[in-house]
Amino acid sequence: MNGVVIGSGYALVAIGLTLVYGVLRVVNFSHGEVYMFGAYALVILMSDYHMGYLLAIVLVIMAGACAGPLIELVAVRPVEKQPRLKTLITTLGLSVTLSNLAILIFGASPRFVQAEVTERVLTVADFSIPVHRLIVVCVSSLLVCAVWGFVKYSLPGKAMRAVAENPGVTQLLGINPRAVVRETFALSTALAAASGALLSPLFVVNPFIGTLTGLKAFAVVILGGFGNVQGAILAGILLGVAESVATGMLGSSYQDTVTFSILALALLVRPRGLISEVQAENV
Amino acid sequence: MKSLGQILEVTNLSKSFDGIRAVDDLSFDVSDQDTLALLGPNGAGKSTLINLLTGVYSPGHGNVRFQGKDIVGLRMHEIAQRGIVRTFQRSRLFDELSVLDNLSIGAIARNRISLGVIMSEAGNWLKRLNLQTFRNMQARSLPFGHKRLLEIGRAMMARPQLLILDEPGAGMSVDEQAFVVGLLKEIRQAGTVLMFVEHVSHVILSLATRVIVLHYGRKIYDGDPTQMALEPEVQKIYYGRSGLNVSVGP
Amino acid sequence: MSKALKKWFVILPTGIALSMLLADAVDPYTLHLLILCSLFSMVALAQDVAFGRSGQLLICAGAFFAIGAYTSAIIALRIGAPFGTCLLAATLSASLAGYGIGWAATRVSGHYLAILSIAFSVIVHQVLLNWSSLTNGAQGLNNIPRPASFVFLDFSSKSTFFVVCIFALLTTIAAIHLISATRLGAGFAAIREDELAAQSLGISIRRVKISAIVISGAISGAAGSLYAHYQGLIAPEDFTFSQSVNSLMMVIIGGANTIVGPILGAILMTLLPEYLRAMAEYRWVIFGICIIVFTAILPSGIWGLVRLTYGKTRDFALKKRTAAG
Repeated sequence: MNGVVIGSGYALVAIGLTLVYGVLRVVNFSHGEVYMFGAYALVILMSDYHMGYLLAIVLVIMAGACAGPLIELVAVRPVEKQPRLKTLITTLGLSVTLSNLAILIFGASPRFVQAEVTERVLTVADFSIPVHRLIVVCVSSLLVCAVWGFVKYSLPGKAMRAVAENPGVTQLLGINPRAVVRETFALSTALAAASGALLSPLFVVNPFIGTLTGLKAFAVVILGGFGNVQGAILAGILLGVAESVATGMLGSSYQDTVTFSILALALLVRPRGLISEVQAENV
Repeated sequence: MKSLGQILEVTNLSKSFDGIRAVDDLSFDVSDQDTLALLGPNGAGKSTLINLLTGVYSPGHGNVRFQGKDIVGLRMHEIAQRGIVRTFQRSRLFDELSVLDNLSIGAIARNRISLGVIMSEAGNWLKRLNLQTFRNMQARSLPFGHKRLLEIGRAMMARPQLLILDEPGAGMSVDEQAFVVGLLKEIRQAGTVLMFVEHVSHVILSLATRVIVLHYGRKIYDGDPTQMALEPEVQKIYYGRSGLNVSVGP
Repeated sequence: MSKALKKWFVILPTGIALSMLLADAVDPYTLHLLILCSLFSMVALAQDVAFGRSGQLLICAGAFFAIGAYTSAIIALRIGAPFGTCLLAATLSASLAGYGIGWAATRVSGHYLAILSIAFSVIVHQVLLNWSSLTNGAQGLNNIPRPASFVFLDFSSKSTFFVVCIFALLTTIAAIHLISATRLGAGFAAIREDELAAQSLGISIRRVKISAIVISGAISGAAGSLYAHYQGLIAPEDFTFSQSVNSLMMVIIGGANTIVGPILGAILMTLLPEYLRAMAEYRWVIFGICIIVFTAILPSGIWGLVRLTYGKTRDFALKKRTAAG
């Protein structure tokens, strides 16, 4: 059960990553840092400002949406004319900057969310379900459905998919690719921040959780397929469950090893990345 | 030139992409006396054929023999080492490297020759291609026509037995095209068999001893370039109808 | 013997002599920093062989470094082997790891390869943390012995170790310089520029890629061994993913595909924080921003910029052999 909760968190982060890749063919390495800031934002809103949990989450999501276009402006647009791999490097640099900025702002010592929502328990029949976990699953399901519907049925969502398939043509159709890119980033970081806010009560919050979660989100995106939103959702939940199982069997210290071994294996078993792109090129 | 017979034997070659036959049951032989022009409208399968011959793709069916040995399934670099080298429709030079380096890297896969020999050969090609003044310039800064020449020179540094060129005259001025034709004639005289895709008629007529026309992946004409325009099938695809009284020749 | 090789017979002893003078001229703490600079320079050069010269974006130099360090330490502590053996073992094991990554590089490329290398870095770090029976877990390994005295060389002194590190660095530079003027070096440039074109000329990109990454691993591993025997104490926290990111930064900021560039980057990133104490807290924030700035507008790094200013063209694959050309 815990695995599903964490897995849905991974899924949210991964959806953002995979959307951005689908539209821009670009990997945003600082995505994890948005998750981290989302977690910190929640901690601060609840502990220092005594805000209610759900309200805090909404605020964090809104703030997260603003972060996306900023990241795009700072780390993606300056290298938009260069090979796509350069963006991995710039966002890597941004991730270093952001995580160390977090150290400066928040201090390196971990923080906890102290709120009663984490302690409340709902008793249904013979089961006692921690309220918080319920909230996480409900909110993330809600968000996932919303995103799903948005991408599939709404106009901006369709525009995103159009740009993902054929950037050149969409400009001719009057779609402003810059706006689409901005919206995609906003959506992606909003989800990452939401995930951070949702999961922060479960863990310790420190400036480094971004990097690790970001890497796990990569694992999810690769397993689910770059650009594939359903894949991200499925793989996210699967990864969360796999981690839980691994923790149960091998102990928590091996959790990350398992995750990254799965990632490495998945990468090696996949068909080659670049060669098939090259063959599609007009040789 | 002493004839060694068939340098290339293509038998029932087929390649499909997503159900579309890009190359459809193609068979032809190339003798070492030929200079073969590959013609056809866009999408006819010419580039796919080149990719199949050079190992970029593996065929769905069929076989290719080069100098009597099967080459289907070999990797690109293995085929190149066997003696088939190609140029690309859009030049793929080593952009950041110098002109001289582009030439010399062409030869590094050759066995048993020293770096000194490579460098002097590269120097000779510089002269031959009139690129001496550009020798230390980055390849990306070259004018378009010079880039195409450099690509030919680089391919020749690999000492191919068969050189396949993808639109050697494309985008060039008339003078540049004349230069390329002269260059390719010399290369042919020196013993390298040539096969090229081209759309520019005078280049084709000046060089080719033989023409193969492709249409939807199938061969619809194989023979004398000067007779090609008289062929009804060819007339249909190029002019829209057949039965035309076309005058051919200089 | 080629002229290129001969000049190293002059450079090497000169360099060693100079380093001996330098070692006596500076205070112990500065010497410590210089030793670290020389070792990180080696790792940066190794990263450059894979990334700057061959175009393979790998972010696992720190992992090769770690494998070298731990192999060397474990063999020294468990078997009591002499330093030379430990160094050799470290280089070999890191080369083996390099071979594995090199093989992976022939199967996947671009984003996939980069992420795979990151996964590798994380896995290595996790293994160091968890395989306690071998690595002593989070506590790390200590009492790693300095090399035994050899004739007049007393390795217990920092000065001697510094000279050894300089020797290792100069050897690395010589190796890279000499290789870059061979067919293999030309191959590095070719696969970086255009893999398809390279293949069409008969170059086996598989062989070239694997060679580049094995060499990269070997150099990092050797540096790791020296690091372990210098520090005497190593722990997994010295070898996190950040190490690999740092090496990449050194190459990008210093200047890729050059000899001076990665060394400059290593020196800047090691010494600057020391001498600009005020900004020490902000160093990573600034380095991160530098990465963005350099990648976007200064792709040839600081050293590349210097060279362009002085009108020098880029370092090319095969050196000009004949004047007539």
